[in-house]
Amino acid sequence: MLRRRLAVLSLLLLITALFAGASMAQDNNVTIWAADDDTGTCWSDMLVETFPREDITIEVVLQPSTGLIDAQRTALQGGAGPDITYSHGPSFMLELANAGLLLSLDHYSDEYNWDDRFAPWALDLGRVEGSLYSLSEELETVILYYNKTVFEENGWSIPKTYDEFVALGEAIVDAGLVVMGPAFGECAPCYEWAVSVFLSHHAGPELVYEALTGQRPWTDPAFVEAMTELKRVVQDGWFMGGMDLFFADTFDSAHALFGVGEIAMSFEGTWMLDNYQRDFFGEAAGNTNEWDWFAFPTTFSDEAHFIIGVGSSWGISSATQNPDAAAAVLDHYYSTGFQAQSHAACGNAPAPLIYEGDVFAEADPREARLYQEFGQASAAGNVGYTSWSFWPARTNVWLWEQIVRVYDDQISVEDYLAGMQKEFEEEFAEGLIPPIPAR
Amino acid sequence: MAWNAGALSDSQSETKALKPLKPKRKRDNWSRYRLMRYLVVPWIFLLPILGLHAFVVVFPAIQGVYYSFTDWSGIGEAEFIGLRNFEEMFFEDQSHIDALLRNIQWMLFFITVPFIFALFGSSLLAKVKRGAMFYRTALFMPFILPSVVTATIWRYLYNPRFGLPTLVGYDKALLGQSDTALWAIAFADNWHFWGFLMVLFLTAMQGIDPVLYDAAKVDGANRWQEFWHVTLPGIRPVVLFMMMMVMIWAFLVFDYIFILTGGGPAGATEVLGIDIYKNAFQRFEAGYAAAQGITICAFAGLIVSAFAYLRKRGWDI
Repeated sequence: MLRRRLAVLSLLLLITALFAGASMAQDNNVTIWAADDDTGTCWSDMLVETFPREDITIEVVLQPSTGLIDAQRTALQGGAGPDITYSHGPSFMLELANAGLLLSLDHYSDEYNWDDRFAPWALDLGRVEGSLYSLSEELETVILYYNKTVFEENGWSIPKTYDEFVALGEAIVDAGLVVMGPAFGECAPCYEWAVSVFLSHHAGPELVYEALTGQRPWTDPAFVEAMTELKRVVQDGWFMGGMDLFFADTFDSAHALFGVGEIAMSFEGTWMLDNYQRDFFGEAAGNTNEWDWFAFPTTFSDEAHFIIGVGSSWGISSATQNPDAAAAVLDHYYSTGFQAQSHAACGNAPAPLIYEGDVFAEADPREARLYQEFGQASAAGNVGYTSWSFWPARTNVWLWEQIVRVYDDQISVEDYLAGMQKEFEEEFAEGLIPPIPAR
Repeated sequence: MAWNAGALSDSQSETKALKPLKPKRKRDNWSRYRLMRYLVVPWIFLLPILGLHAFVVVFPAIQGVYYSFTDWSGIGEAEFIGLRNFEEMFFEDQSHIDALLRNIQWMLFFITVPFIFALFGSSLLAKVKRGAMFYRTALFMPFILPSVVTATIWRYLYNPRFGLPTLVGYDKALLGQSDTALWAIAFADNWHFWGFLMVLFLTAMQGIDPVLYDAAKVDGANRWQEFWHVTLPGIRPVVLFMMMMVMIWAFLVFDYIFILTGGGPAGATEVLGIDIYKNAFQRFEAGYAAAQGITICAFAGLIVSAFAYLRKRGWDI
């Protein structure tokens, strides 16, 4: 009798547990992985706090920032991972979409009017064969920061053309200072910054567009000229004063030298806007120097040009149980209000949305000017391409890995570009080129 | 004993005659007991660890072998391409060959320099009586530090603006030059590693019979002759075993290089581990990376086989 009662009780418990499990699966719980660092904790806490819908819960899982994306990719492949997925950018998301690991966002894009909210080129970056699979995040470009105090002391002015930039570089060397930082001892892929800038600002963005769309080979003489000039700049020690330091020194070391004025300029991304003021200039850094920025000059125009890129992309895992809730979270995350708030409080770069009015009123005026000029350049078509957003994966690895061999005279510029063309042709044939927004 | 055995035998045969079934049942029970005790029970105890091993080692290893014959990108479906990855690896991919050669350079460094350091250090420390534990602990300490800590310390020590090179008036970045970067990393790794070897050798030295040293002294041996004719033969199995392990580890090196140079500058420190990482996670060529991993296993297998062969030939390993 007792046994029978126990059996019935167990059965009831099992049924209850099953129903509880089912109801939990139906709960609108959305998981996100965030980097376990100051920025990751800051924006994820803010996302949970500001999310307006009470019927949806956001579960943030903090993960070690190093290898976060690799770990997430492995989890997704195993049918696990978070509901909202995150990766380095369009070329990585393209791989995930091709593997069927992402949901199409077309339906949600219509529902939430994302077409009207994003910069058109940014939304296009997330499309695969016409369908939207990912949303671009962290608007990025590379600019030249300069130590304003040092410039004023030496009477140097901001160069408008590439020739003026070269003259400025020579003047800085003559003054016994290092032309620019940073060093890439901690970041091998970061060599892509200079290649991206020199291709778009020296050879020109139209040519790069043609190459990315398969209409022009990477071996074109204009690209050879651009890479030869970049090689000269590096071999002449314009970065860090010498190639050995450029290859081995750390970011912090270079930024500190920039702050104290031993390095005149810093060839850096817009992700440093917040850090320079906080860590390397002013009272906190123990100096009275000031900094500002200008767009890297071009060989063909005196108007400001920028290479455009995104630092990461977001999508919804095809394994999610709650796609609608995940889309609602994304919609909130990609609202101009949240982006501005998160940018102000956490210092992360805003997503490439169309910002109207005085959304960044609280931002540093130098930063506000950047977004203003970037918007103007974007509207005028004065934009080039970052390799990490527009190059396919294998070609991009070639781009940053082999350029150092060019600097080190192990291979010629021609061989470097021929190798890039070979990788590109293979990936072009395999359909692995990220969407290139029409010019 | 013979008498007792005979008595038992008589007694058994008597019992057998009276109750023929009972001893049979006893034997059945005994057989079942033996079966349970010696065949089933051990496996029951082993089952959890075997299951775990199958889950985390055997199954992924089999998968790795399978993926090495595919063009798998690391996500999604994999297409079988036969031996194409291996063909590319050995006949087309110069970066793989270069990386392999760097691993061999690394191996040559680590089967010499740390062993010399450790043998020298342990033979000196073996004679130290006062403060021996302090020295041992101090020299062993770097081994228990996480590699990221050690590597970061060495990054600063190598800094040409304020690091060790400035002490000798050298103003170049050792990690930033193609011809010095690999050796600079190997030296940093050696700094962390040789203390471990030294402690092992020191422990092995304590097992050597002191009479042998006394005999050597009586024969007029000096310190070097003591070391060469008594100490070294006494610890040879440990030295050779560690040499085998170090040779295998040399093909697995990753952390120090990844932290200090990421394989640069200009690929000068790119070993197989770094090349595999790039192929798997940056170039989306996980199938090819798996094939490279299989070759590392093959090298390890070759090394172990060589040592097993030497042992079979009578070497004291």
